Amino acid sequence: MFRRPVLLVAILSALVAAGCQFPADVEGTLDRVRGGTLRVGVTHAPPWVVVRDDREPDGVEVELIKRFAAQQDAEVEWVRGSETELMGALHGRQLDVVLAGLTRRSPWQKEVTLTRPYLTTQWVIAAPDQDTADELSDDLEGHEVAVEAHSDIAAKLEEDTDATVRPVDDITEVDGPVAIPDHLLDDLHLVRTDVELDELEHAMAVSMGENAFLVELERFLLDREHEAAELLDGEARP
Amino acid sequence: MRFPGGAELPPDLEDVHRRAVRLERLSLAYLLTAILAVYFTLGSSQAMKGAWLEDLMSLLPPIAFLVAARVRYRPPDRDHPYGRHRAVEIAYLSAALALLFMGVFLIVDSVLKLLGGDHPSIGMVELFDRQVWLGWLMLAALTWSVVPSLFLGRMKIRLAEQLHDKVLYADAQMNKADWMTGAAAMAGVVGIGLGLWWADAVAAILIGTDILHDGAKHTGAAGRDLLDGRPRRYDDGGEHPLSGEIERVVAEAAWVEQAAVRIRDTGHVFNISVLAVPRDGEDLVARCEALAADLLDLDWKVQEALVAPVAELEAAPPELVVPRTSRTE
Repeated sequence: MFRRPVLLVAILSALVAAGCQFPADVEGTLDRVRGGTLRVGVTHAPPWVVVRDDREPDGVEVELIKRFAAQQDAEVEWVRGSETELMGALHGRQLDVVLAGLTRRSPWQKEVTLTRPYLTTQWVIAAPDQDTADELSDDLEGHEVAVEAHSDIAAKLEEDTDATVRPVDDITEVDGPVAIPDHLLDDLHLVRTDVELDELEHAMAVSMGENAFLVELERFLLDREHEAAELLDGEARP
Repeated sequence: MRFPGGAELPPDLEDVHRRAVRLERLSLAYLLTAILAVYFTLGSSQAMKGAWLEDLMSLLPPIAFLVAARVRYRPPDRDHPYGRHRAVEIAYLSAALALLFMGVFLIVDSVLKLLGGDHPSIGMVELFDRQVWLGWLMLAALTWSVVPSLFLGRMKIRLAEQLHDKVLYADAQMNKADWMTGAAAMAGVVGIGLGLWWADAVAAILIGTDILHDGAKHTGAAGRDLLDGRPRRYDDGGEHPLSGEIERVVAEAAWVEQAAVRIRDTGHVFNISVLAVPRDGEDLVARCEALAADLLDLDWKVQEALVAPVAELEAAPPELVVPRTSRTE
């Protein structure tokens, strides 16, 4: 009864010891990328991915993947497209990674694999001073909260809280309570309330079944939460 | 004649039955832990979902057994003149259907996976500040869902033999299905690790076929029992040996010219009805009672024996008619 599992473990240990990849890629992505080219799909999603016509892409995820490519001694080939186009290409293994400011809640889960989150951010309601923050933490009823107009977070504010929604064009230039991502709190000298509107687990997408590549990228990302946070702070500053 | 009541097990089997109940309770508790363990390592992988659903499904037979064990010996009353022995049949059918659906699910799911060409992904997780490949955690959780099932199944089969209990036997088969799917999922995880994306689906199809076969066999047997079919062994491996003995006792009764014997398996006890054509009309009440008592003495499983003297056996199917074998006095 116990013999077979023991044998199995022995074989696996031998494989690992012999330097074989475990887990391995179905299509050998990692071997191709090392010392070769990393094909990265990018779609505009600031501050995670900033795509401009005339320049190389920029942003938190772009910077992270550049560092990963450097670690793997790989050149990066940038491919621009809409999220749908890129996900189709990634599913068909025409790309290795897609950067699109994705979160773990992405509806693409069945087509592609999302990495573990490299950074978690929160959308919170913030106030100019501690007193207002305490007041808002107690009860939002009747309070006006500014939020970026036409955004998904505006929808959340309207559906999940009693606050009165005040749509604005630029949330960085608001007096009074505002719904913002938590990394902007310090820059804008705001105090967070207890109200968390949303939690976003930021992730990248890779092809399914390329487990050696996935594990390598995740190892890289899991060690770099601080770097990601710093990059995000850098992006936030004008 | 004593009115057929809620037959009790003989003392030695009573003990075995108590052990079986304890074992089933233990099974339930263990299954819950295995379900939790596998659930928390499911991740985004499809590979382990089969093993998990299978664990969920295998809750059914022990629950059925325990429920049946509670009600089966309640004495007859106005609403249940025959007692509640059939509770065992309901339990058996439930257990068999659980097995059947499990097999169908596993095969369909795996074939779809194979046709879809899904390449399952297993990545890293952080566990106590250390990075671990989720595959290793999956293998650990699966080991917990495989090894105890293996032993539980074997213990149950032994008790099922002694008790001649079909529910327990079907549950033991479920445990077998359990550890086999677990093993298939392990092969799948290792296969994914080696870059063989199809390994797990293929293993699951093979095992699904085996489970489907067991499920179909037991569902058929449960159906036959509910249709009052001729009693069969607990493992559906042929006729129940008691039937032959019952017929022999009837045939050997000196006063019976010929008799139609019908035996029903109401789950774990037998109901016998004998329509007997007597050679003469002498002292029929005493003779009938004596024959019924002989039948009841045969085995604890004979819970009810009804002997009725009749003038002739009109239209009785010949294969049900037992001719006299005793020598004429």
